[in-house]
Amino acid sequence: MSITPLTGAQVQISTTWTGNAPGGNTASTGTLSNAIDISSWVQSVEWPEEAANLDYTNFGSAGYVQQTTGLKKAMVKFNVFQDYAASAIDQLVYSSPGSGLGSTFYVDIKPTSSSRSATNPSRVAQLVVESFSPVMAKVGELQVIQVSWPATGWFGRLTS
Amino acid sequence: MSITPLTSALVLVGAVDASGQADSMEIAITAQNKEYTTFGSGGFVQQMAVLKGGTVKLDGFADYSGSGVDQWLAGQGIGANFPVSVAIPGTAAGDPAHFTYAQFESWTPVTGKVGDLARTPVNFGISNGVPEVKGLLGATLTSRSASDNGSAVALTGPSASQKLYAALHCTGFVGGTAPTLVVKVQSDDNSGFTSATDRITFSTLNNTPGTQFSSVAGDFSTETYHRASWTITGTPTGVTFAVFFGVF
Repeated sequence: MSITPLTGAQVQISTTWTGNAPGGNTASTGTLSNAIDISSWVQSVEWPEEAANLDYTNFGSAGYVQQTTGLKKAMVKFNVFQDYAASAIDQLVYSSPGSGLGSTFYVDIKPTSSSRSATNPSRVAQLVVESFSPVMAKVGELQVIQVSWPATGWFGRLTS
Repeated sequence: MSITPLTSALVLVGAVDASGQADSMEIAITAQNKEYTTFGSGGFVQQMAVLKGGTVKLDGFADYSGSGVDQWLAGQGIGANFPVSVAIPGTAAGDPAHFTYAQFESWTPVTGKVGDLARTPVNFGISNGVPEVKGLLGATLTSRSASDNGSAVALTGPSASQKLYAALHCTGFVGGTAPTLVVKVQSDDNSGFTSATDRITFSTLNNTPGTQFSSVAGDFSTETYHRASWTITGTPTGVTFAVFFGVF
């Protein structure tokens, strides 16, 4: 067993993928191409996945609720420190790789920056930039932007 | 990398410098998410972002003076449209900036208990078919008395599917005889501007502060520098203005 604190998670993004990219209708293989490591701007990450719960209880269910799962979805949430420097997070969201609001990009999140493996799995998805707050702070504060970007299509866990 | 506390910013609301009043701001842009999940989606929800919009929220201390935010906003009226721009820190050409052509949606011109410092939260919408533009400060908010060219700012021009956007905020004229201000945004393929091309020319301001927002479609993506250029007549003691530009 290896319960460890998440101190060095790696968060990478790109608009290109080598292999079968996430976001389609089949399981993904491969990896990000031209990955951009945004770990140094990410304060926290949350990756809730869920499947729609469908109730098919019927008169033959012997008094118990019967249910199954339907469509799967995920909403990846980041707390990101805003940074206006060249090639930093503000520029990355607006011009590269995502070209701003409404664009999509691939994300690969691992517990550590070591290579993907069975003990260092990647969570991968294609995310839709449906919101962003390029300016959000009180004077004197660090700008921490909370973003929630939904996955579209296939998302999942890769170990190779 | 430059993660720093937001201690200084140039905040311009129309023809008023709100930097000395605002102590909190938020620019939030959103896109409506539309689902297109089908039987061919492999069991996963598929979605895309469609219509875009956003909000700009400013909060700060009220300024009821003759040249303050309160008088200017009251004069515009709820529903008016004008540029709202912010540069961080806003002290040099080339500073990162965000600007848009905002719609004045709501405000609370008076709020506070006895003994409180009066505050004025203001809300704008980004919904005029104009995007929120990530750009650069082209010319700092400075009093100028003569025609000149601003610093060359590294900015690649728009492609065929993009536009160059620009905002002009003029906050005051002082002195002179019927002074005027004409501001342009120029581009070139070198920082020396040996072959400058006018891309945007704002309308003439005649001895009256004002604000304008304009755009021009690409393709001049071979141009890699932009600058503000201004012509001042009437020998004023000073005309104070700032220019923002960006590509989207």
